[in-house]
Amino acid sequence: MNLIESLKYYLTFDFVRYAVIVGILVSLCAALLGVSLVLKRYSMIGDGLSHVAFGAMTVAAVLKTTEIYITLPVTIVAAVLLLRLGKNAKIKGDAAIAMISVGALALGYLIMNLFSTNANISGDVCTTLFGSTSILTLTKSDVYLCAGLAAVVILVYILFYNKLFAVTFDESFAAATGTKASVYNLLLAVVTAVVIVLAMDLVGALLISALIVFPALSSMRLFKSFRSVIISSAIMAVICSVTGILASVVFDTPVGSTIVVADIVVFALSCLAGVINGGIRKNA
Amino acid sequence: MRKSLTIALTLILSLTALCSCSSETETVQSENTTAAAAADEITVQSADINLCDMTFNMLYAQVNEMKASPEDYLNKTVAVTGTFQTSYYDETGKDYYYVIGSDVTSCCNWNLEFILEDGLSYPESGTEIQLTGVYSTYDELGVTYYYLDATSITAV
Repeated sequence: MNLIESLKYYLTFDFVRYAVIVGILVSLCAALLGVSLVLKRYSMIGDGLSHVAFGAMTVAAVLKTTEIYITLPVTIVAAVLLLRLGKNAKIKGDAAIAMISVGALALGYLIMNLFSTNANISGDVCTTLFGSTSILTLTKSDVYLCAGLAAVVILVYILFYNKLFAVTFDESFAAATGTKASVYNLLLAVVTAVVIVLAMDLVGALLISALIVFPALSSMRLFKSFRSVIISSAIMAVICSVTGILASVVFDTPVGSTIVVADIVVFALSCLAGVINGGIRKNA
Repeated sequence: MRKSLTIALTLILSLTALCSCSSETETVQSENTTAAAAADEITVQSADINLCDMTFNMLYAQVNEMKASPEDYLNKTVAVTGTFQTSYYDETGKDYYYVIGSDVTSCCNWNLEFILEDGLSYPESGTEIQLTGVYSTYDELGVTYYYLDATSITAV
């Protein structure tokens, strides 16, 4: 069976189509947020929040409740604490992220071992941290939930684009001109938490930062305006996500890391294109 | 603001179309689903669900799907390759037989219970086997279980 026939065959399976749809939605949302987070120097917040979500997931597993009922509110609270504390915090950005991140990871793993509900603890941890096949085990209701949350994220971003732009580039100036910067920071925090929780199934907790950071950085190598960076970041993220998922299905590789490798390749090509483009402009 | 709303509505409609497309696409899996048809010899190539030729990721996901939505797979013919394992359950005092495997990272395992038809014998635990059979159901102690009613077993 050649590559095209293999792809056609695998796309006949519902769970592969669900994985592609959720992959597109999650990577699109992560890319939109990634530009603002990278510019605000919060690139590693995805890592921190995903570890908090991991800790919350273990509590949900022990309590035998639906995971999202615990992980989403806990992650939102952590995001608000991290992003809203900002300049007034005694413990600043990167230190706060590191503290919350490793603390939640350690607590989560401890809870999982002490109150295990499954004999295969290392398997559960591996899947949650690296997202090996969880994206391929989604149900139709998972897809609808993801679509609903993604629609909210995209809608918020489109409706408040100008305010988020202002708060991203110069929060102090935005506040001075009457924009309620704290409200938009809070909005950004909540939306980030939602995207992190959605993205955990796609790439796992340890690789989420890649979804947020790489598309934004790749776009910034090629484009200068905020709008162009946002649009190109979204396109690159979707292409890498779909390529990664389909490649992992066809070539039997872990889904999460394949998506991240696709992001790395696109970043390298963008850097090269940026250097060539810069060289052409200089000589022109 | 009106422009933003228009763009937002367009995106929402696109998202809705994206989700609905998934349920309208036809599958190309075989339509041989009746138990009567399954009574004929089942081969790996003729099975409705051929798990033997799948990659690790697909195999893990397909078995998970068969357990999550078993009613969609009842009475379908299945061919699967994996490792044979037995398990004894105190409450019923019976042995249960499984074919097991893992995903590509070897961190997540799948298993499928099976029962051989009369005249066939179970191999040693740990043997790599290939099974063909019909996906069926039975009730025990008030719980419904899904298993492979195996019509053939081969050591590979």
